Amino acid sequence: MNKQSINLIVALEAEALPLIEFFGLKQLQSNGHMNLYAKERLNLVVSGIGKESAANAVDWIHTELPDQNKAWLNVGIAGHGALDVGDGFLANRITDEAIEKSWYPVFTFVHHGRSGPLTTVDDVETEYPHPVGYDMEASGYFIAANRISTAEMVHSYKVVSDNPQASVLTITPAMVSEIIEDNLNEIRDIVDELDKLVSHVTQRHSLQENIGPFLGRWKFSVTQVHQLKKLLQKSKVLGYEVNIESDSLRNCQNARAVIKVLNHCLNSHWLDSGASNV
Amino acid sequence: MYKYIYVETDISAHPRTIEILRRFPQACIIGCDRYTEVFNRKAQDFRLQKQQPALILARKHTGHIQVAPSGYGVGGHYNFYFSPMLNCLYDCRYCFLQGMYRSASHVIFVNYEDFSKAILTKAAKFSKDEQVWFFSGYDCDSLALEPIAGMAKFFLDEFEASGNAWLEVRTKSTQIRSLIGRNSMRNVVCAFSLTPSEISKRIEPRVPSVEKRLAAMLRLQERGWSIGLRFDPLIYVTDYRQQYQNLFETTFSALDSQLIHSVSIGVFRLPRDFYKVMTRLYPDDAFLAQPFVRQDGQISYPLLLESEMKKWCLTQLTRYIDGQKLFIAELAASNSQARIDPDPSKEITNVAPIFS
Repeated sequence: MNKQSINLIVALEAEALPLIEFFGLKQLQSNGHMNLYAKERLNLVVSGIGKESAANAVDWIHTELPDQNKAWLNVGIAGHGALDVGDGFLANRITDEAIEKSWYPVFTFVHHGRSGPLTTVDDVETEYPHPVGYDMEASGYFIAANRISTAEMVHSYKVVSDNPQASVLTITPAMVSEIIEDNLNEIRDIVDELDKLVSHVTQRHSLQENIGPFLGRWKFSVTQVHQLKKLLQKSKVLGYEVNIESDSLRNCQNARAVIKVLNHCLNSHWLDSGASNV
Repeated sequence: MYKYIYVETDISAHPRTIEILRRFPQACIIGCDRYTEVFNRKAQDFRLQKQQPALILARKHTGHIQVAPSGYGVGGHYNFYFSPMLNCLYDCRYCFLQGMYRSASHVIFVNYEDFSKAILTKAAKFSKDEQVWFFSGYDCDSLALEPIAGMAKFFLDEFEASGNAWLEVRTKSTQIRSLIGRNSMRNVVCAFSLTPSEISKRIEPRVPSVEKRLAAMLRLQERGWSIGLRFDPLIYVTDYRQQYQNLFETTFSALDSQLIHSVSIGVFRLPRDFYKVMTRLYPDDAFLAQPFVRQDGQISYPLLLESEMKKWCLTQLTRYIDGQKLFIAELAASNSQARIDPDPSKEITNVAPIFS
């Protein structure tokens, strides 16, 4: 069975605290630089500031957790050229200012809140030249996570902490925790939507057939294991139950013969009434 | 309908962009430099995107018309296709677009005028007596987005002025207002793809029912439009003869055969690489799980079935329509010889049962 997870990447402890409390996460492990918190399918890593740190956090969680289907949410504070302090938004375009390149998270779920462009900068932005968000992690995070998961599963949610009217110098840890806390319901809604997406993808492969009895009886090469899985899955999708005790299979001397018999039998789909099941 | 619309900066002030955006006041508009930054990037999931496709408005810079694949024509010597839109509202399980694109977003290239210029320039290179065919509906459905895109409305005007350019508008949609609201044109064929109802319900999600499509065809005929019938792809089911017989009977008894321009059939086939992508996207789908046969980079039904279906359907269709109006959409012509008279014994052999 494929496993699935939702992974939160945050830069600061002050951003993490309300999330840890709200989702009831417990510290699972630490690598000296980063801490991993988890509960059931939800994980959270505190990465430290900067796009490289965020990318490292993604790579670390991917290495540590073997889940095959992962969704990702980067949560944190951001400066903004137009929105008010405390406003939250999902990034719909992430631009790396240093390399002048953009990425586009794909929205396949319903989100009733705000969305807007986000620019990742290397140094704190204090001029806010455009009506967009400014952060220091999202581009590094997105590139790293999109190498692992498809763009529908990689999102970034930011809460405005500073803007032309409220200097970045006024930010305190307590204020960071407070504005994240004020947006927890929206963050939970996004996590729920990501959970549905990752379940949808996991569900696609849930029909995988148990190949154990075959591997116990014959010796299959890696390629043959792939062929076997595919044939058994196709048989199951088409509504056929493969009987390993049938004469045709019991008489097989090796894996090659098994694959051949399965192929032949699957082809009989065209002869019988099976084709009415499509 | 669209919650997210991506707009290339270059065409953000184009009148067609403004008109389309006006229809979606609630949508989130996201600017981009080139549509390829969003569309068809690596690591996207077509199946997930199909749940809520975005709209992308862009400019097509080059390659406005392409030579049509061999076997795509309906009688003309010179066949081209053009795609001012990419992707489709519908979700037909056999559709090659699922395997060709990583994104399910709908792309509209708003610079229709550049397509038109390319079409008319190409047609002008041929003799005025030659029919030069231009097919729309290869990378999209020509009419499904008509209320938003107004593509048919624009191109009908353009073709009206041309002497030798012929247009096929291929569709599964019933959005025929652009055609109904004007006089019929001698050089335009509105071609409908049809699959038996029972099959359509299973593997053509969101497609209007056969009855609704027939009603649309009838309305078009009543206004004098030529209709094309595209039984393509032919889908095999155990009782395909019964199902297709019913479909042919229903279709031809409803329509005026004098106003049927052409009928074409083509057995289901797909480039193998597209098929591989599609089975990864839909490992749980019974249609795609069938043991198709590979040949020359394509997958299709076993040769015996394929030739049997083709032969049977052609025989049936000749009861309703002049043979000169019948066309077969083949694989590449070079392969066609290899597909004649297959030896059934090499194709499907009955074996001792292993399925319980």
